[in-house]
Amino acid sequence: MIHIEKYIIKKMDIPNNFKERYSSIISDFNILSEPLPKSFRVNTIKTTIKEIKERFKKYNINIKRLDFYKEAFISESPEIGKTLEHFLGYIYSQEITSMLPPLTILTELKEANLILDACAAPGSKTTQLATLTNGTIIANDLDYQRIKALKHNIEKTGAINTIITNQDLRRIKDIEPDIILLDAPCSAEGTTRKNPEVFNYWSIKDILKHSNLQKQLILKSYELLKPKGILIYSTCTFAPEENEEVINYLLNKTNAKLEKINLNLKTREGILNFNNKEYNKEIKKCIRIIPEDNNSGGFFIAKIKKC
Amino acid sequence: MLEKIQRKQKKAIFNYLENRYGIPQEIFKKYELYSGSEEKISLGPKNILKFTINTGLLILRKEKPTTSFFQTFGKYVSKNYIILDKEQTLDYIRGKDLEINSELQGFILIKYENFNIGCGFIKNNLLKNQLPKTRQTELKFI
Repeated sequence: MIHIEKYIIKKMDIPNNFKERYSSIISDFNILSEPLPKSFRVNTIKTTIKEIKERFKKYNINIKRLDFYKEAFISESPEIGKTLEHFLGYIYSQEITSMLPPLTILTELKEANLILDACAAPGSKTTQLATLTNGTIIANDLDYQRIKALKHNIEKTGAINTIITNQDLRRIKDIEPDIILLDAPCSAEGTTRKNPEVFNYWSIKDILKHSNLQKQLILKSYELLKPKGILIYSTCTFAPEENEEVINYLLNKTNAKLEKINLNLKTREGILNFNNKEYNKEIKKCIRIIPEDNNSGGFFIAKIKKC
Repeated sequence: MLEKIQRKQKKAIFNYLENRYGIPQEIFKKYELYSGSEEKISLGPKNILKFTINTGLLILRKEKPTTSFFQTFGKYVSKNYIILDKEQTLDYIRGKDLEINSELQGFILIKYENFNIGCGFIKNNLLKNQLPKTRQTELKFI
């Protein structure tokens, strides 16, 4: 009964001005109130996909492999977290969209010596990166309180090729990473299926505040990057001011080039105009993940090459 | 601030892990050891930044191997381990101490079947639980 009440409240809580603002991007707003399917990733540092499939079969827990990533599974069971495999760090609960940024740089990760995960806590992408590279990963986060979770997850998953730093990205110097993953702090509009309270503090002011910070962070990331290095910029929000506008800003300020992203799930192109603002046509190469397309959260990714 | 451990102490640490647990030293070749506060020893990449606050894996607190270390490297342990049955394992993961018949003493690896559960401390047939509170939990599927 309590669950039903919560569900109704969630549905009613989507502000009308939110719906109006994103009517050209999202068709099905109902999905934003529905719970996300439980997804997890097999941690290949510690185990194999085959072993996990066998163990879950033994437990009678149905899991379904996802097409876009052979290590990714979803399950209807709410008890994934009560398995020995979860306890041992053999599997890692992670949202589908959160698994995507590392998948856009699979080839580059094989060659990379130094990777900076610039806003790393709680470590979902860091620990995924560790399964995909032999290079050193700098897992940085500004928020010291969140470093605890980052450290916990890195240790639990056995991601030894990682170091943790607690710096303001804008002040980092003297490093030249081959790859930077900037999963920027954002207004988190794409996470409402997990955190419906996002609607309670949603505001244009918050979007613009984030956009301003994101422009500083992306410019700094680009400066730090090794020549010909790759910068992945991502957010879990819909606001073009935090996505396409940030990329547009970088393209105007630098000689950065955008690269195409190929993922084996439904994506949409970056948008070229919003609220009377026009963006660089190259921005079509960015991708948007819309919840109704893949039964996921909302996400945005840009792949940028330093020229 | 983390500091790289000097060659002599590094050798002593790897000797300890090999002598007590049978963990071959070669498996650590691509990593480096670092020391931080409270005699904590960490394993991490060969090079770190001066503002590094942690590396990948805390492996020892004085002579006590950490849970995460055994969960990652337990597969190389060939001595000083015990194998628990299902009920004992569930209790151990709940955070309980266990009465156990064993001649072993001191810090040991806890195993269940082929799974490396973590570190325990045995004295006089009492297995004292060493799982961090944050890792203790009630498992349903094992």
